[in-house]
Amino acid sequence: MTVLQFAVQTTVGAARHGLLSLPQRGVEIATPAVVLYTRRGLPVHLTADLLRTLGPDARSLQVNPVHFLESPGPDIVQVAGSIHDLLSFHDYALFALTSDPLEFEAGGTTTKTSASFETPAGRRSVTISQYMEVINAMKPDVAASLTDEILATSSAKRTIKSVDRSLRWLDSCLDLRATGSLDLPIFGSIQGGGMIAERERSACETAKREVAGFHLGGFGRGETYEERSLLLQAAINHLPPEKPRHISGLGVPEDVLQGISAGVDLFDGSYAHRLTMGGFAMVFPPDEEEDDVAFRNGVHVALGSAVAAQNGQAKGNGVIGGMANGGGGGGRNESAQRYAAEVGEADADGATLVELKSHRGRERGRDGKKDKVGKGELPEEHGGVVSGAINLRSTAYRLDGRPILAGCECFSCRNHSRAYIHHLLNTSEMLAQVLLDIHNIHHYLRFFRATRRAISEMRFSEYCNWFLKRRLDCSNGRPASQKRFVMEECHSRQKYSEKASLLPLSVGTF
Amino acid sequence: GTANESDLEVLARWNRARASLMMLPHFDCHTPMFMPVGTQGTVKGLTTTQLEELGCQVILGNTYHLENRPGSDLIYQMGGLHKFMNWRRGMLTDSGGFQMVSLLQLAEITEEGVTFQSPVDGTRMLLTPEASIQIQNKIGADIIMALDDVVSSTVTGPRVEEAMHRTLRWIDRCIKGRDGEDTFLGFVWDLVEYAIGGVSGGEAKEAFWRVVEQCTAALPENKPRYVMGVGYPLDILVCSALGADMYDCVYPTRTARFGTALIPEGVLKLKLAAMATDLRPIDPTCDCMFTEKMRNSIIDGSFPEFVRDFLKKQFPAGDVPQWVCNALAAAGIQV
Ligand SMILES: [Zn+2]
Ligand SMILES: [Zn+2]
Repeated sequence: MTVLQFAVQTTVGAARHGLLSLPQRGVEIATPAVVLYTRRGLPVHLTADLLRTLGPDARSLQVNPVHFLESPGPDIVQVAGSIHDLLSFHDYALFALTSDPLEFEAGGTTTKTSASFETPAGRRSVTISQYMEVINAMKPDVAASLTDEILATSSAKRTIKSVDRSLRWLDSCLDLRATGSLDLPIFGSIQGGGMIAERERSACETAKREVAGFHLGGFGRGETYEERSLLLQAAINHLPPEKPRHISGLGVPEDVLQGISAGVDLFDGSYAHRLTMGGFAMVFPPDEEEDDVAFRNGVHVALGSAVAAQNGQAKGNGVIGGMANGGGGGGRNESAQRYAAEVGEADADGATLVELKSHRGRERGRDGKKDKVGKGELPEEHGGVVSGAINLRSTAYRLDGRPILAGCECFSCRNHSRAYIHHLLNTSEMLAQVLLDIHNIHHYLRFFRATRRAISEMRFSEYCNWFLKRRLDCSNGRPASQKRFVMEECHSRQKYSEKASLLPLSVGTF
Repeated sequence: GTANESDLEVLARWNRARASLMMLPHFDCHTPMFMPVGTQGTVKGLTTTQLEELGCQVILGNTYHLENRPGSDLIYQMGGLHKFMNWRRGMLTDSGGFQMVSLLQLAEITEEGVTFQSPVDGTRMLLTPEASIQIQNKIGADIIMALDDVVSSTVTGPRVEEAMHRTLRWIDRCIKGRDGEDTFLGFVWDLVEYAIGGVSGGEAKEAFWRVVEQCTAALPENKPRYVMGVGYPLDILVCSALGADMYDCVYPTRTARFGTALIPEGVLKLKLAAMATDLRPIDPTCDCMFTEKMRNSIIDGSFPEFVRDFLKKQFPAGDVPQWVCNALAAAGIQV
């Protein structure tokens, strides 16, 4: 018997803090929450024992039915009993979701009867009956309906078709639930691309069905920040407040805050995985209370010494040796900091570029270029902070004996230094991603916890303002995220102008 | 200083097999023990906590690889390899010589040391016994190894003789090289390593166990006996029956990466189609490490039963190889 209970506890505007309970699993998920990203049921680099050390917030996982359709296949999952049995994860909430922002590639051969997916074994089409066969074998706690994913920039005709198709497929999913699991909670997938009217129609129609919640598809795929707010609003306004809402494609903290502000409850966790694969560790301030001197030192000195050390090393002037004696004082260190200040601008630009690149990667269908960012090929040439993430591949961390983030309670920060993780990355040792994943997931969970607290204490907008400002600070004075939005907007606008029927665009406010 | 009298205390014995306590600066080890290989300051994919939970007492670092990346100077600056990787238990580094000979084609051995071509820029570099010790001192392991003149196990005749004598001369130089350099605790390995080292190559198993048998018979009781590069459970069992104490091998880690698990009956290839619907655990009886079970059996006197039980599972048809029977007979165990 699958039971999914959801209760909204506090709201601030559209933002809400709630509790999603699965009594049969003994799992309670406080929302807003992240559903951790997996490839085959486990976060890519973590064994079950390490996952457990991440605490009660790390108890909801995304499992991708398309991956399980491919291998081991529904018949074998069936023999195991369920996906919980196969993974030996009986006390975890498993969400069957096909959306994978790291695999998405538009322009596949989606047809009337089958959706097209990029999988670890190549592209494949999945029919509705294949999809429900694997879902029925997996018996997850929640399954999203099969949906026709498109870009925000898809044509009006294509967008309308996607909404129609997704609704038809939702009806089929509901029909095809096996007799034994008629109670399987289905999240209805909402599409509508970049069109307000279609988002509204998709939401209204989906809400009429027997669904347990909603999956908001097609976000983070070419829409601007402002457009996204309107699109989210258009859909969520038509959803019943008592049912949970999941979104994929929004992972960057600013985007998550935007989603929460619009009333989204559950987010996909691929952002943490993407950072790990690039050798990045999150160091943005997660919480107002914890934003103390330790944090300021942690990030700002890191940025300063990072840049200085990198340059110092290139010139062979021995800055490295000076650093080894500890971060404080000393003539060398002073000049290093001064130098950091001088080159800081350039660094911030580089940082922004990276975030931009990874963001644009989601639209790779446009120019046909395959995005490899998710597979660990982020550019290596920048030593400092990328919107609150540090790149531990940088030689700047060779001799940095400090933890990733001062005061962080995660296993990696309690036990290991930046220098050690840098060495592991440098020698392509598996433990590098293990330690990065632990920290990144821990930190991301901390961020979501902070958003929940802010909502429950009725100070969510203050929290957002504080967060955006602090992210701005730790991007070395540059509004990295906002700058990204501006550039993204230019990029999108050009594309938009080629299409009809889309949103009215507000003129550059940033 | 050099190895002292209390290096190893034999706690229990079954004929030649022994269960001992070896006090290292960072950890008190119980032998016989297997030491996982942590080539570059990490055992593939495992956290240090996971290694402790597995009961791992000593891990290996490869001097050659560590000197390449991140470099012994950096490790020294970061407070030694223990601190750098946050490992609280025992650590052993090899001399670096073996890797140079095995990895590099252009290695040349002279009285001065091992000369090889740098893989980075092609320049000729010389690893002397003194340099090896110096690098290992900076890495700071509990057990460091003297540079030895490695010969392929297929070589016979005067070259073997030469290697032995040269290794002895190099050990003297290593011990001298340590004076004043000892910033970390650690001791130079004795003749033990040489004596048994080099047997793990391609010899016939018959020759292999006889070498181990002769070495353990000739070596002093209070020194640990380390058989390098031995990792198959059957080999460990035979060597332990003959009185050896320590083993290392990449085998368990490597075989795991190829999807193979070690089980009492041999190996389990988890990639086989038959495994797809096998819902049992890898080994339902698995609760501790193989060497730990073996150690306990030496202590409680049930070692022969342990050996026979092991062989019964590995060779259910009773076809135990002759060399195993011969070796165990020499160890006083009738199979
Ligand atoms: Zn941490
Ligand atoms: Zn086991």
